[in-house]
Amino acid sequence: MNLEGKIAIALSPSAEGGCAVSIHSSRPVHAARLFQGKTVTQTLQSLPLLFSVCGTAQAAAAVRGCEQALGIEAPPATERVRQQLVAMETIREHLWRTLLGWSTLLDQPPPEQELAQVMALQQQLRQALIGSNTPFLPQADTIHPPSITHIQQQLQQIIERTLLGIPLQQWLAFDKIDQLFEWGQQHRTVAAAFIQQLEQRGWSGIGRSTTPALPTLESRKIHTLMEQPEFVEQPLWEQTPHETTPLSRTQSPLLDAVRQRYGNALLTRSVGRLTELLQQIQQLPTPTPQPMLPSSESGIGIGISQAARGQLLHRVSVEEEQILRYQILAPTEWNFHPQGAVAEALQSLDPHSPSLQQQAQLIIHAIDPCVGYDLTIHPQ
Amino acid sequence: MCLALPTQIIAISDDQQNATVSLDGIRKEISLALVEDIVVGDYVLLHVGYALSKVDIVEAEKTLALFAEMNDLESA
Repeated sequence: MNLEGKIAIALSPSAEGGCAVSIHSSRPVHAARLFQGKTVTQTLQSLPLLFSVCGTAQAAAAVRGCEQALGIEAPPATERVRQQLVAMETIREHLWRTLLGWSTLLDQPPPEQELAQVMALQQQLRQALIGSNTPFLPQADTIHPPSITHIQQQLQQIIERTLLGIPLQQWLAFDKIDQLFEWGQQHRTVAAAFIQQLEQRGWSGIGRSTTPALPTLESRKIHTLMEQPEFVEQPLWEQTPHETTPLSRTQSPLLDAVRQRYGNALLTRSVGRLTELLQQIQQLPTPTPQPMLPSSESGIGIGISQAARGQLLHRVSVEEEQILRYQILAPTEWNFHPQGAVAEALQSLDPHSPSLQQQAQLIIHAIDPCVGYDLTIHPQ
Repeated sequence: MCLALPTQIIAISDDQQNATVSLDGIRKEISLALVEDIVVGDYVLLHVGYALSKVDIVEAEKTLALFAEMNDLESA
C-alpha cells in the first residue's frame, strides 16, 4: 500500500510552443476522516504520530482548530511556544532543501554533519521549551519559555559557515541584485554557489507564472468551500488557482528587487526560500503570531499554521468533545493544482532544451511537494 | 501529506552508514548518517533517503495501527 500517494507530472511539447503539462495527484486528501468519532484529546494525541515532515505545523493547526470549535483561547505564551516550534520545523525543512537539494545541483556531497547538528538542535529547542509536556492540547498549561538564544546562535553559525560565507545580518541587508550576484561570485558556500550556477546557466528567469498568492481567507467563504469534497482535492479561490509557498509570504527589499527583474521565476523562489530561512532564525526568540480566522460557526473551528511548504488549514467540527468531522487542506493541493503555480511554471519551459529534465526538477523542488513525485517527459 | 510511516530496518551495511528497508515490498537503501545506535529490527522515520529518527516499538505499532485504519477508510 502506498498510503502517502504521489504527484505524477508529465511534460510534452505543446502545439503553441512551451510544454503541455499534466499533474495528477494520488494523495489521500480525505484521510483525516480517520479522526471522526474520536475525542478531541485522542485526535490531538494521535495526529502528530501520523505526520513526520510537517508534524509540528499539523499539530499547531489541529489544536487551533479544536480550540476555536470548543470556544477556547490559548494563553499568548503557549501560542508563542507553538510558533517557535513551527518556525524551527520550517528552518529544518529549508535547510534540508538548500543543503541537500542545492548541493545536488552543484555535484557536491551533502553536508551531513551539519544536517545532523540541525536535527539535534531541533530536539534541544523542543526540550528547552516544553520538556515532556505538549503545547498542542486545548487548555495546555501556560508555558513560560526560557531563553533560546544559544540555540539561535548555533543555527546562525551553521548557516553562515555552510550557506552564506558572510554574517546573516549582512546578507539580509542586501537590497540590490548586484549585491546578490557579487556575493555569489565571491563565495563558495552552498547558497552562493547555487545562485551563481543558476545565473551562469541562464536559469535565473525560468519558470515564471502568473498564479497569484493566496490572500487572507475570508472565514464564511472558506467554510462554504470546505463543504465541497472537490475543493480539498483541487482548491480554487475566486475560481482561480492560487499559490501558498515561502515566496508568497516572504518580503524583503532584496526580494522586491529580484521580483522586479525576474517575476516569480526560479531565482526569485530560491532567494525567497533563503530569505525566509534567515528571517525565521532571526525571529526565533519572538516569532510573529499566527493570525486566526474569526469564528463564524458554533462548534466548528478553523486552525491555520504556516508549514514549511505553505499554509496548512484544518477544519474541525466538534460536539460534546467528540469529532464529528475533520478536514485538512494542505499547501501541496494549492501549489500542485493541475492549473496551478507549478503547472504554469513548467509550461513556460523549452520542451526541446537538453536540460529540460533538470530545469523541471529545479522548479518542482523550488515549490516542493510534501510527497514523492514522478516526472515523465514525452517524447523521451 | 508527509506521512510518518514507521519503516523497519532489515539489514545494515558493514560500515554502519547505510541500511536496507522494505517499502511496499520494494527494498530500498537509506542513509543512517543522521541517527545513532540503530540495529536490525528497529523502526525509523524516513525523509528523502535518510533515516530521520528512531521510533519506539510501542509508538511504531500504535502508528501502524492508525495507518491501517486510514488505509481501510481510503479503500472503502
